[in-house]
Amino acid sequence: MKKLLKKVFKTLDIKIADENRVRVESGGLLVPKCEITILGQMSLLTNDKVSSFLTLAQTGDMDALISLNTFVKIELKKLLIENGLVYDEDSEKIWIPKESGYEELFNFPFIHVRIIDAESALVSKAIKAPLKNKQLIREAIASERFQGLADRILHYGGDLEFFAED
Amino acid sequence: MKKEEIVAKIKKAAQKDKKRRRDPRYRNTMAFLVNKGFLRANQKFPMGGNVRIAIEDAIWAGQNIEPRILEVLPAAVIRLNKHFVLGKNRTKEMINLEETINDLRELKEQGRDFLGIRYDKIKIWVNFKLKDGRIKTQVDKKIARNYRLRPKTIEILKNKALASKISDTEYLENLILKSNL
Repeated sequence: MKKLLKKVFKTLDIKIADENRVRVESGGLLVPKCEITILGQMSLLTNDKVSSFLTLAQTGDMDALISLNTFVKIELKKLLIENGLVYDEDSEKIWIPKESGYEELFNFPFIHVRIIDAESALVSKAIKAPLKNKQLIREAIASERFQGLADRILHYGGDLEFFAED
Repeated sequence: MKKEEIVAKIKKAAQKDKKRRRDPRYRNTMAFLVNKGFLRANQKFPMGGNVRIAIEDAIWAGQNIEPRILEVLPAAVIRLNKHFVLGKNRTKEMINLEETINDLRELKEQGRDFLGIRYDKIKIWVNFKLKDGRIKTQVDKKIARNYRLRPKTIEILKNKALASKISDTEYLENLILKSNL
């Protein structure tokens, strides 16, 4: 997954560079450097530290917060489709715990891509979509690699007992 | 219940999950959906030959192990229907699946949800590009129809198609699409 995303964002970066060359010639406003924050399942699958011990599956949708101009957003959506992925238009609605941290995934001249830290992604899933992520949360807690996970689920009003039910 | 007790129960349940993930119903369904590109996973799911998946098994795997299976199942059944076997039992889940599939086949903008998954989230995968480029999307799928034409009409059609270096069907389809612009 990480390899595929690298290909997508590298191509997007080249497209922005090409567009900026045209804009320099025509005197238009240049496309600024963009920041993309990958959330949800894709953030876990691209995180080498957690994908080695969690069982992860995902559909082709990409949850991401994107601070882009229209040109980049359109180009990114096209590139994702060409590579068997889809941008989830509901991404902006995803709840992110306020103390979340972020890790850099790629840094190209025109695009900076980062992922939400794995524990915060799991907290978000446990609170907002517990049924869909029941086994994943159980596996994460049982792994003992996320020391704050159970406490944070409780802190945000999650039902920890739900994950203990068969 | 104290947090420590809950965590201990969660750990026991996680062990059960691990065993469940060895179930052939889950492994075969995942192998098929991952190999066809409907799902991605960080586990290896070796798949052999021309596989046929029982829809009941796929639903079981979706309800008990990986809910994302249910999200792509209606689209997978539509696009690769020869690979799925319908069981004899018409459970409420099967009826729900048929309803959603009917709405998708009719390309309805809004349709019936499948086992709690929103129709709009399911619909995306009907026209989604798959790894295997031979698998057509719902809008690109061709439908066979018979039309009775006069010999003279067929002769003109053949000559025009030949001159354009395309098939008779393509020539006819282009004409119809142009007339609809």
